[in-house]
Amino acid sequence: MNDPADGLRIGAVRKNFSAMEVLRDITLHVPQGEFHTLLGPSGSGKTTLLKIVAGFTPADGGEVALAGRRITDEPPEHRNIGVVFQHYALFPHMTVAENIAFGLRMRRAPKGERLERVAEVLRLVRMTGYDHRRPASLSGGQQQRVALARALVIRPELLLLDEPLSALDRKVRLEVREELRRIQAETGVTTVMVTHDQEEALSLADRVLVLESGSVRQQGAPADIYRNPVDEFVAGFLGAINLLKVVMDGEFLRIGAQRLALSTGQIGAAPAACSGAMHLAVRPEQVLAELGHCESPAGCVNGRLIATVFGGPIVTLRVDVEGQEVSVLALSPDVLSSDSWRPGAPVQLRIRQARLLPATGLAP
Amino acid sequence: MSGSPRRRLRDAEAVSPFMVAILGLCLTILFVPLVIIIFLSFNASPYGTFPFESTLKWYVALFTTSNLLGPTLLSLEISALVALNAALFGTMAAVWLDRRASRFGGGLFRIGLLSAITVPWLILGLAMLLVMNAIGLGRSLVSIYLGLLATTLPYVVFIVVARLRSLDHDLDHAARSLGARPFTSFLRITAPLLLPSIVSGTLIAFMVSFNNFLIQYFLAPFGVQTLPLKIYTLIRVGYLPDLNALATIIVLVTCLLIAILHRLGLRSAGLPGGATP
Repeated sequence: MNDPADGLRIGAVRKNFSAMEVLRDITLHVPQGEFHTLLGPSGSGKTTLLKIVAGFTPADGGEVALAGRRITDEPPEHRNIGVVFQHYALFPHMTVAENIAFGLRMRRAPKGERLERVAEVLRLVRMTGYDHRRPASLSGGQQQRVALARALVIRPELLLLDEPLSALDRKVRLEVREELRRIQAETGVTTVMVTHDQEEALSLADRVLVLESGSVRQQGAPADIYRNPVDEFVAGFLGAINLLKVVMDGEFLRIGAQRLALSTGQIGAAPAACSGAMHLAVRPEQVLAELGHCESPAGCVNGRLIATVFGGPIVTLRVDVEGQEVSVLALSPDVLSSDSWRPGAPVQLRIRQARLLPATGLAP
Repeated sequence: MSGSPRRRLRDAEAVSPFMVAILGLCLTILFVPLVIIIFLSFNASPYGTFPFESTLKWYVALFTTSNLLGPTLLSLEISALVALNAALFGTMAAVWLDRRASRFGGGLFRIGLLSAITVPWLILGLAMLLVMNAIGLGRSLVSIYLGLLATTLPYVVFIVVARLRSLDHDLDHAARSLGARPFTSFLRITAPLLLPSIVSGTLIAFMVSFNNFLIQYFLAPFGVQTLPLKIYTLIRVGYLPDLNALATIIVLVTCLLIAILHRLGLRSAGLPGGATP
């Protein structure tokens, strides 16, 4: 894993646009064959980082190495990187087959080999038979498959995906997302995808790197980042989360007048600076709600139901705990089968898993 | 009619009779002389008098005894050279303007080009003559070439830049990442997509150059006559209907060029009057 010839390495890459610092000392390593995602809101610098890796934009400092080769100053045509763009960027005056064969032509592959590899990659993206169609006559999902085929046919050492799904309709997006996962697994190509969609990032990637204002906030496996965010920004960006104001009280946490006992297994290690204001970060699905009261101090807190919001298979319960609102997810049948879940009903909340985070007010 | 909504001026329907009248007047003023010239080119009388007696003798005269053909060929040659060079340099300038130019440099260049269109050619021609004299070119064919090139270049640049603006820059990125060098990417991807607007620009440059009496008047060497200069001379001393025959041919060729422009989709080049895609 630590072979420097392995995959993509980015070392201390910096970029400024006039006076604005867009990227600050970004360092990351994508091992050969892995699928990593750069996740961040717009303006976080993720697309700029992608463009630096692809060679479309020069970095102001730092190094980019691919398969052990330093490519920082190489032009894009010498990098052997396949790129898929948000708006497909298919050549409109060429057919599907000509689009895909373009990279092979540039490599002066003989005609027989070209035809063979185009057919092979069309099979891979399940677009066989579309060879002679023009991009304009294809749907968005089909165009993105062709774009993927065009990027893969050159057998790149790295595949870069720049928000590849965000121009597609929701249904097509899920379909192409599954295709992406399958194709990446089949080809085993090292892949970096840029996205602002946390669901996409969590569902596709081996590792997620959360970027904000040009800095890496956190990187790790999707489930790990989701469960153990290092700060409120990451916690909030990866999905809905409750941030409860709490005060340390010996071995307990105090929420208003109630004392709550949580084991270290449930909240992990408390952060080093635990003297200041703290937030208990709890995902809505990590809370179990039951009607009734529990005795304090215990592993649960008491509140009152404000409202239930029906959402098909699940119901979101909005519960007031000591003046703070907590969202809780429950399965529809559990809640709807009973008349007792009325606004004002006493509810006890059992927290299964949570994180203590310093209160920074940085949640997105 | 109490319940009907009040007609507002911006409703095309409300102003249409007035607009139609004005439009009709403009088109009449524009086309009646053309029709008369075409009509007279087939009339036997050398003084445009009736009765109408149809003949093709002026067309025969045009290609045999008239001295109009020499100036026409000179004008065609100069305009073709100027248009092709304007296409080449104009496209290069457009690419520079769109992809490479700094905000300041690009802005300055734009203002320069705009002034070549907006400053009256009378003044431009006079100024050019002063400059040509100062640098020792004086009145010469080279001066005409340079002067016409300067006045036609803006048309090509603006038409091609409009098209470049609408092109996705990721097309170039895609080609580069697939292994194309910058020039190859331009040749294989950008240029084919620009071609309709380059051709449009070239045709417009040709017509502007062909028509540009003022620049030619100021910069032509004594004794050299382009077609506009020749016609100017003839009008002062009186002319034969062989000129009408030439004018008819020019009108027909122009109509052909406009049809070509229309087919190429001027709308996509950012000019009014193009074919709707």
